[in-house]
Amino acid sequence: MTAKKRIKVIMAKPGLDGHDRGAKLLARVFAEAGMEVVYTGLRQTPEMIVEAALQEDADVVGLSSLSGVHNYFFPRVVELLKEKGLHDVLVVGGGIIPDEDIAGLKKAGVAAVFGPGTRTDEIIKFIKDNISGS
Amino acid sequence: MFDKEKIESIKTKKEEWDCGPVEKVCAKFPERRPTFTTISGEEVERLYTPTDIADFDYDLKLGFPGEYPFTRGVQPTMYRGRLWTMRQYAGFGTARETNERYRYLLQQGQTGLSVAFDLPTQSGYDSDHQLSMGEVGKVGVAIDSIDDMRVLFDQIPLDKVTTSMTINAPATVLLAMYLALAEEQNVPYNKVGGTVQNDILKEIICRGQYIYPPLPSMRLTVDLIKYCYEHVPTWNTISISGYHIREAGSTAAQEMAFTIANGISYVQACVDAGMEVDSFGPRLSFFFNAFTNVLEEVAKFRAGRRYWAKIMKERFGAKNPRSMMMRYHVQTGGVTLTAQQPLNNIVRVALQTLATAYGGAQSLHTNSFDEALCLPTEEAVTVALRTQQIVAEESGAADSIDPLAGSYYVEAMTDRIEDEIHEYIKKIDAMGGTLKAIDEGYIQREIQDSAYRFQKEIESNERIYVGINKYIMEEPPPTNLLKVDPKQQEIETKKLKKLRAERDQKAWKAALDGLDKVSRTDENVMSAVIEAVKAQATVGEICDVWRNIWGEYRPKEFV
Amino acid sequence: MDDLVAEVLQGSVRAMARLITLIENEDSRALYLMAALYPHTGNAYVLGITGSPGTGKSTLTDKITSVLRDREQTVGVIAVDPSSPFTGGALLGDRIRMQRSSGDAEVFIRSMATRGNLGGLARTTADIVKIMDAFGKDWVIVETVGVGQDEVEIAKTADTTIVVLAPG
Ligand code: B12
Ligand SMILES: Nc1nc2c(ncn2[C@@H]2O[C@H](COP(=O)(O)OP(=O)(O)OP(=O)(O)O)[C@@H](O)[C@H]2O)c(=O)[nH]1
Ligand SMILES: [Mg+2]
Repeated sequence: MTAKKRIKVIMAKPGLDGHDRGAKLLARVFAEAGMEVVYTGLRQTPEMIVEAALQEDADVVGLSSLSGVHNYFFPRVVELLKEKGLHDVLVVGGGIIPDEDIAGLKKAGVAAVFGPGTRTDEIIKFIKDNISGS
Repeated sequence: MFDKEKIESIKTKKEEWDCGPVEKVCAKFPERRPTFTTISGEEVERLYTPTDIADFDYDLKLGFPGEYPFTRGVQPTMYRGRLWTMRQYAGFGTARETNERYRYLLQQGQTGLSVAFDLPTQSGYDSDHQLSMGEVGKVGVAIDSIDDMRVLFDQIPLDKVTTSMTINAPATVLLAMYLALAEEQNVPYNKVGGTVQNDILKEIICRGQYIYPPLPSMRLTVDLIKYCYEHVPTWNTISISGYHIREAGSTAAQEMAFTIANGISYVQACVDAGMEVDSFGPRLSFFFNAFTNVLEEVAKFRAGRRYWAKIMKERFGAKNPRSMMMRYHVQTGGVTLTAQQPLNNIVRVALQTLATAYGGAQSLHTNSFDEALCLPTEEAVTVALRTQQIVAEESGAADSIDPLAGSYYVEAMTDRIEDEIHEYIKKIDAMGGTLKAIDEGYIQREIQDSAYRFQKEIESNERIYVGINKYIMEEPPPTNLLKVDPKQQEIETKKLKKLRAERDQKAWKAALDGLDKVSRTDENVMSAVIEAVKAQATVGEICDVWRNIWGEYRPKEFV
Repeated sequence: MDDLVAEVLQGSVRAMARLITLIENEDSRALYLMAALYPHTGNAYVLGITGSPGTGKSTLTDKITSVLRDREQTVGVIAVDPSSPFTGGALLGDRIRMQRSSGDAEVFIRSMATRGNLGGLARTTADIVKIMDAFGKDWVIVETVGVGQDEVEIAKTADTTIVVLAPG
């Protein structure tokens, strides 16, 4: 392994959803946890998110969705990542996601989904434990 | 209220008490925490006494309900005359489904309507737009044309109910549809009552549903205000909103301060457009949050009313007392509600409702206990409405006006929040106004920093949050969640296809061309928008006319 | 590893992104990889953009990029932001200000953190310029950290350096 590896995260808001309190909070705490974080801002299409992941060579793509569109967007992001050859990117998601949707999202390739009230250190631990190559 | 000697003597006695009994007890039984703060971080004293409001002047600070500076309320009899309007924000799926929910709520004793639109509608995209994929009807009702609006208000007479519409960038379009529908129902414009949010500044700050750059957006805001002043005299032309600012993370004082700062910008824009402050002033309205710390919220509302009255009178030279009244809607604090042990939320909402009643609001939405899980189910929204009804009818909170006035605590907190508001207004003025402060990210950063601080307090257990960092329980996954049919977009797309094929093409084209033309001048766009919606132009088509002229706003996001 | 270099030279964006990471991480093979790329460099025009924090460097980078794109030039952007000296982490906030260009797949934007280096660049920024150059970008624009005017390390790397000043 290399000497200076740092976890690089793309924190993204897919779709028209304007709920960014959680995403911005996580961007900040991830940076405090030693990660290098690119926050995309609102209204990202799956293509934009994946392009950013590609260029930034991200280890993690974080998807935050509170407007009920996760079943539409999350699988598309995973699919496009694969299409671009980004097989080992860890995709994690969060927001308002009913329990019954989680299995489907995981099957589609989302590694984990975190809901309201989750401690941020729990999320950080998950990322650090599951990042490939470290 | 007290003479100097009396204050001095109380001060001395308080010191004796602090150094005597208090110290003695604390030595044996230390207090639970070194300092106590409200949820906004305001420090709270062990005990408030007259010394905390030593220069309190009843006439200057409070006055009487319905009179300047309106600290005690905007009407002389407040809830003894009429209770606040109970108005649950609702919308999902098709216009038909939402219409059923409205009629159910009215049957249950709700007294006003409040429309939640889906995100495509709020962003000015039709249901068949590429960017609407996956979003149609998901978190609000999908409205593309006046045909949908007609279904939405089916069997609801527009002269009997007032309607609030949470719509901002396309506010002119949805208001136009509402007015055109009123015409169809033979209701004259001066009998139509309600509110459009029409507050673009807070969209840019923290809600994210903007379309055009700030200046043309402000022009639409002002056009709507002016048109209503001339033609729809009982319409609330704007709902200057602190609710979202608070939900995004601000403190109570910041919520009030940034909202008032935005309010100042709207008033200035109308004045700059040549309007008299007392022409449009009486129809401005506000929208705030209520968290669980009852006394802090009450103080916030009182401070806000007092400060706004002064702004309108002293800064803008208003003469009509109605222009000075801060009339407002409240929604209880969504972000205070938890996905964990969701029934606990009913208790939080009850306290927040009490704060709202003590604070003197004009209308209220109470959140449902399933707030952090899904859009409200019928069961949950019924409990939420009942919560209002219980506070209104059983608690006695509605029976005497501003009953917490004179509390040393509440008056001291009211003064302190007013001072904080004033400091922010001074700072924003010095920066050159809200548009500048937003452009530089100042307001956004203040809010985000507060959100961050709050999260840290929760995670370090400095602040207790039941079910989150204390009294945690294992529980089964929640059941009975409201679901929206994912086929929504297909249904709407079909309808749109039909509409586009069957409408009178000539009339439609002429109306959109007419809109394009006035939009390029300084003339008011409202009449042309009304013509366009009558010709069955869609929300997306109308918004595209303006996109072509003004372009789209790219937000400057700040982390 | 030679494959990676070959892929970069053949225009693989993915390979370029990965190679940049290796170099950024000061991988043990870095010297060797850079040597392999070196013969293919020297064609790009390198523009440095520097100035105090918040003066508009990213905004200007975005605008210049879109002008270059209108002239059918290909562009690589390297946007450097500071690492926290306490946590080692970084919020890389420039990309979000380059919204025009970030939608354009022909513009390659790479955010990077200084990782403790002073002077407005990361230790490896100059090498990453070379990678984009070898890849075939006509222009490489480097936005430095918001720094004081005496820190002009970028001038050593760039053909032209622009210092952005806020008026007033
Ligand atoms: C705050 C809030 C708002 C604010 C948003 C302010 C802002 N700038 O963010 C305002 C008031 C503007 C708002 C507006 C709306 N809201 Co709202 N809002 C909420 C609320 C109350 C809290 C969300 C929040 O910020 N929580 C605090 C943050 C810190 O938590 P969080 O985002 O959940 O993040 C945590 C986890 O979820 C997870 N996480 C989140 N994202 C990610 C990403 C990754 C990668 C990972 C690993 C983890 C993770 O980790 C975080 C830390 O624990 C929720 C209900 C609730 N209590 O959750 C409704 C809620 C999300 N809103 C809702 C709705 C419908 C709306 C509107 C669309 C209504 C309308 N029709 O107009 C509007 C429009 C918003 C828009 N433009 O998109 C619904 C959504 C329903 C659904 N999905 O089915 C909810 C659930 C309320 C409800 N029950 O009706 N809202
Ligand atoms: N008025 C005006 N504002 C500008 C101009 N250029 C940028 N800004 C604004 O200045 C702020 C900072 O712009 P950025 O481009 O992020 O500045 P920066 O120098 O890259 O900032 P850092 O990377 O954080 O040092 C943003 O709000 C921009 O919109 C300009 O030419 N005029
Ligand atoms: Mg920058």
